Amino acid sequence: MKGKLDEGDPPGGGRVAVVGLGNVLMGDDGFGPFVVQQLLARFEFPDRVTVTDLGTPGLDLIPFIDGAAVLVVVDTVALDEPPGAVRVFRGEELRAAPRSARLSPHDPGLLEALDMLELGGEGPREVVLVGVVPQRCGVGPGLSEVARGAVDEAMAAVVEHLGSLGVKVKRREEPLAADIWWEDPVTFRGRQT
Amino acid sequence: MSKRIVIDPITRIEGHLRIDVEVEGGAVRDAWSSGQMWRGIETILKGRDPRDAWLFTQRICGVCTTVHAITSVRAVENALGIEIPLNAQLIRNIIIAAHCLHDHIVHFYQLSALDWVDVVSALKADPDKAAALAESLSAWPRNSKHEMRAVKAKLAEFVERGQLGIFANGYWGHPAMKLPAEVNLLAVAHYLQALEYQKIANQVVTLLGSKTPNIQNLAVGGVANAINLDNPATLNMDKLYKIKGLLEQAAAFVQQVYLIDLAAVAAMYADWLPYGKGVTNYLAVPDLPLDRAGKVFDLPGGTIFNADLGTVKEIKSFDDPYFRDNVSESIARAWYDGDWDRHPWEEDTVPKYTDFNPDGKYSWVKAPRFQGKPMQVGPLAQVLVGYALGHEPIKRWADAVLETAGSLAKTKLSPAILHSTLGRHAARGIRAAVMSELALKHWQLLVENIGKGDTDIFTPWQYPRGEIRGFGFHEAPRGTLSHWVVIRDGKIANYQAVVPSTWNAGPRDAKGQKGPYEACLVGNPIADAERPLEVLRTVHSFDPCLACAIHTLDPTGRELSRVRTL
Repeated sequence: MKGKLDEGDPPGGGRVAVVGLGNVLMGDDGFGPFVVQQLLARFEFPDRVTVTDLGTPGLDLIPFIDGAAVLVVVDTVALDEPPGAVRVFRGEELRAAPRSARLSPHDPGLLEALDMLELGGEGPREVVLVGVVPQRCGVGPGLSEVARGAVDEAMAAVVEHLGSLGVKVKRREEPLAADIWWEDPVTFRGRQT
Repeated sequence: MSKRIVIDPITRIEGHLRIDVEVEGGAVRDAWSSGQMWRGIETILKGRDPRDAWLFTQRICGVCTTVHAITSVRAVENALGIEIPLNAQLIRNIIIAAHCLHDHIVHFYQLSALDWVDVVSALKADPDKAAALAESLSAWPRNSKHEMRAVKAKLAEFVERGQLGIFANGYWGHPAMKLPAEVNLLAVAHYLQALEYQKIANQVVTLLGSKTPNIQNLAVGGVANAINLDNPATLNMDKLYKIKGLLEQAAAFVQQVYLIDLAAVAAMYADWLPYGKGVTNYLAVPDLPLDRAGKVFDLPGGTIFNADLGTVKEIKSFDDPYFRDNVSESIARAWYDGDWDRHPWEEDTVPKYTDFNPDGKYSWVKAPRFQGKPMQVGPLAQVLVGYALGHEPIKRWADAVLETAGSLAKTKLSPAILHSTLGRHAARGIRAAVMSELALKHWQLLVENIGKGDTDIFTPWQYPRGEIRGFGFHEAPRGTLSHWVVIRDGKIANYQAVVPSTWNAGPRDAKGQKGPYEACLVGNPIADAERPLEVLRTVHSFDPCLACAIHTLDPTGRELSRVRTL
């Protein structure tokens, strides 16, 4: 479970999947995708690390997790803690949670995707969740100030975890502009006849 | 003495589908379907550039991202009155077909098979007998003794470690579970194989759409897939042949595994054929256009009323007034301000939550109506419309499934049995088989068109001044999806999405007409009110997808769902 990534991995193996989950149209629920865009703008990742905004995918998570040695999820979490709190959960804690009733294709979520991969034979050997407690998840894009204030801490948690695995993440000297398209102000760019 | 059962998952902050049923004498007497959240996509889109709408609308759902993206660009193109290049049409079609294959496979195996398959019973199966049975039904190469033994061993290991969480709420050992152990084992084996093949189908979406969930290759006016057969960075022969190979693999799984399993489940649960009929008005829209304008299609659309295939009326084009003028939504029983029934272009969305009141307002879902009538949408609607219109592939595959199921059940099955819970599953498989053929046909058409030297992928256009209105539709995996847009001086003035699950899961209307979920539950048997498996069977047969909203993980393991009997 622990140790440097290269140990015991086949050549070219040891993929690390960093995924941001959440709905960008629902306020703080877009925290995961927001952090993903900021990570991509501010850091350079080695080829073995994929950093992806996946929205709210249900079982469509599987192809992104399949074959990854390590999965790092950034998401909102429901906890009895103040909004903006960032908490890191490890695989065992996560997997202990009960599974939900199945009424729609959204109900199989992260945990069910992991279960299915394991039954098929290839789950990631390590799963980490970096979660933030949301303040506002109402209709409309845009993070609350509180959630925005937690972005740096969540990014640091991801980078630190990758570092503990021996994955080198380089901070860009000139950060790129983060592609937070859903927070773009309402502008009209069209031409008219 | 009647009893109320409430099935209310509370997995997300705002929850989603809630089903209330009143049970009396071992059967459902009345039912209410309630969406427990509201989507305000029009609030988000007002004032934006219509060219951006598809990026936003595909985020209203995390599962059906592709379908909202496609429908949105179609709606804006309809408003502008533009045709798109044939390549763009065909590339979109291949994405639509591949996404559909992925979605139908996942729905049957990962989301609903556990309503019929008793996973734990598979441990009692004789793997050699399971393999022999499977090989007698299908030429599929992965039904061997070796495969069945391996799956049984893997499952035993899982059960031993107490990891049955994956099958949570699977209701194993329930009195309504009736498959022999060997069939259960076979189903578990195919459950695992399905995970591979749904992924294979979805890889096609990724190859053309750049990414899924949330494809990136669309534009109002076409697609952004540059075509140059000699350029490794564009759509070229290498990528096209990769796509073909993937589609062939997915097609083989659908035709040799999925359809056979469906027929076996239907045959062995033949006592279920009378249940789940409900609303027998059907609506499907045509899809997979073969021309630039959207006037000739490979999948048929139309309406059927009162289960009478003779009433079929075709929807013929992307601009057909028969569809455009007859859709409305009622908020009489939904948590919005007012009690109107309006055309989507005229709607507003002013939420006004009051408590769950089965005699008043009780849902966030509006009640869509066609000519004032509730309609059932989904694969069954398209299969019935196609059957009624004599659509060759639909008729051929439907007859094949009915014949296989009939021979296993030792009876003759007519298309009339399709008006049922099991019929909805059968229709989804039939549609998947038709799609698996059409995906390859449209691949061929694309290659031939490129072979003629046509590499056009985009039609340039400009916004006119003043107001224009448009609608776009798509026959999505869950049924008829339509987006409606009003554009004023190039900006979005109104936007409504009428999604399949609102047609099916919508509440009653001002006249008290029940929505399809509600109507089809009435009369369902209930063997055990504490474990209402039969309700789930019927609701799952629609492939519900209501959660187009929120996703939050609860790592502390507090109550995630509840089944209450009152």
